[in-house]
Amino acid sequence: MNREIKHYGLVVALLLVCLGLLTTSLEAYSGGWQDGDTDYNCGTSCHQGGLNQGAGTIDVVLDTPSVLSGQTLTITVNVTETQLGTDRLVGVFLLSSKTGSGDHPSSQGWTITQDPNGGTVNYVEKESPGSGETVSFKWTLKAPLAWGDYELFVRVHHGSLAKNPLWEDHSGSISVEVTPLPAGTPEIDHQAVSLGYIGENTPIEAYVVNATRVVLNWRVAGEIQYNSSEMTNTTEVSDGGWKFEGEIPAQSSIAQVEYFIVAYHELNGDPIQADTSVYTISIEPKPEVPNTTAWTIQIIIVSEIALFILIAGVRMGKARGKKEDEQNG
Amino acid sequence: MVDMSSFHSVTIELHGGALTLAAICIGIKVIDIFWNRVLGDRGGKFRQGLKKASEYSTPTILLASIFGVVGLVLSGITGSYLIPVETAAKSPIALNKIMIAIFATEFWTVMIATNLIFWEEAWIRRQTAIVMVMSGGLGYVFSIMGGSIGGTMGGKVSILEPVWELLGVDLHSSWILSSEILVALAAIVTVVGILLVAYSVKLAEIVGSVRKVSD
Repeated sequence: MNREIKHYGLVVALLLVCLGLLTTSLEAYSGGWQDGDTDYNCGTSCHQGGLNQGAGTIDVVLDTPSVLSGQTLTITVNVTETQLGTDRLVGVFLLSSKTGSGDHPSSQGWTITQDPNGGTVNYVEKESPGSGETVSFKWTLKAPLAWGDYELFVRVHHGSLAKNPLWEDHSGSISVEVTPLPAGTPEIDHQAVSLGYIGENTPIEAYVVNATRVVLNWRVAGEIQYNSSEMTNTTEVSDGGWKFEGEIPAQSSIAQVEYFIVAYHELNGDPIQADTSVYTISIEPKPEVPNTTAWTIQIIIVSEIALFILIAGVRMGKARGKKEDEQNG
Repeated sequence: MVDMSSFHSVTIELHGGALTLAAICIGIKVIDIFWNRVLGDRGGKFRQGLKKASEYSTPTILLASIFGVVGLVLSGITGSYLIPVETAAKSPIALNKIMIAIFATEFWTVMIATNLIFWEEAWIRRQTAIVMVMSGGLGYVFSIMGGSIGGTMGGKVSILEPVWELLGVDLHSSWILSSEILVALAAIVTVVGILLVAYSVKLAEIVGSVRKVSD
């Protein structure tokens, strides 16, 4: 009995070792492996980020050093690398401090309205264009309501196959002054549009307070001139604001379309205006909508195969068993 | 609020590990059966070890595959919280993943059902042993495919990526056949299936003798 238990124990131990070996490649990736809202520490300690190694430079450009409270500004981060790792990814964090935790820009009241990949997160990965080449990351942020001086930081995370980051560099602080909104200035509340489809107009909406006229400006990236069209106020919303609607005309091929909105108002005879930052829309082919009826039929067919295998197998097994019993008398 | 992705990861690990264990044990059983048929008891200590491993594999296959199927179903439930049905219905890769997971569950269930009906005899009778190996093997292949698609959906790098590339398989495009092919396939499967069931007793005589395939 003891000998048997020993044998069973040995087999279980061997199986556990095998299972252990099978799990060696399991790693924690959440937050660090793909775009996401991530504190710097969480994105670099127990999680992996973009797999690159080597030195590089970070250049940060603000479209304006000062922004009205609640209005938008754009930060462009240019990263140039001198060496490349296996995965050729560059991961960039936009942060409000260098503390490592609680450093998401939202902790200071910033709202990311568009990230470099069309989302609204503070950690973004992009494929590296190669050694010595520059890759650009553009974030659009809505400024905090409380005015004052703010600081933002950019940190670049490059890991290695050994999971030990070889290059974690950060920019110097980026100072932004948030100033109070002068009385009567139009306020634009706009949810950025990041995706459109070939052959379809792209609808644009904005909620605007204190505006007599709202204009949508757009161009295909690379063009010099913007096209303009007046947006229509369709619905009155609270606080005397209106919902304005407009459309960017359909494109016939894959393209990047840039747009911004300008709201106009007159105060004591003086024209005043407010605008959003420039947003980018990726125009892509419309994804194919799967035929779920055919999908269901396909599953039923394979279920039918499984069922026939089971019934035939059981009948064959039982038939042989019966014959065996007969032969054994 | 608890992140549902953590639960999903746990259920993935549960079925991934359990079904791999079941598949390894099925492999041991197959080697043992063939060794027995070709070389009999030759092979000294290795043969004795193989026999012992095969003996332990019999209950392990049943238990591991039951745990695996439970894990598969649970990962389907936890996964539905991560990607709502309405979103999945519009995503070719999500539909591919669900379809493959259903196939895996079905074939593992066939193996478990056969095992539960015949118990240890399932591996002794040649006919049922063939069904067990076939359904378990297909179930495992679908489990691996499902895991690879799931990994890709989670933004991770799948170890099967070079295989997909080699086969020219695009995980992101729909794997749904055209309606014409499906109608023809459904008719063929139904006819062949009914014939298979109707002639299964006769087939049993062709496939195997009464002699046990394993000691």
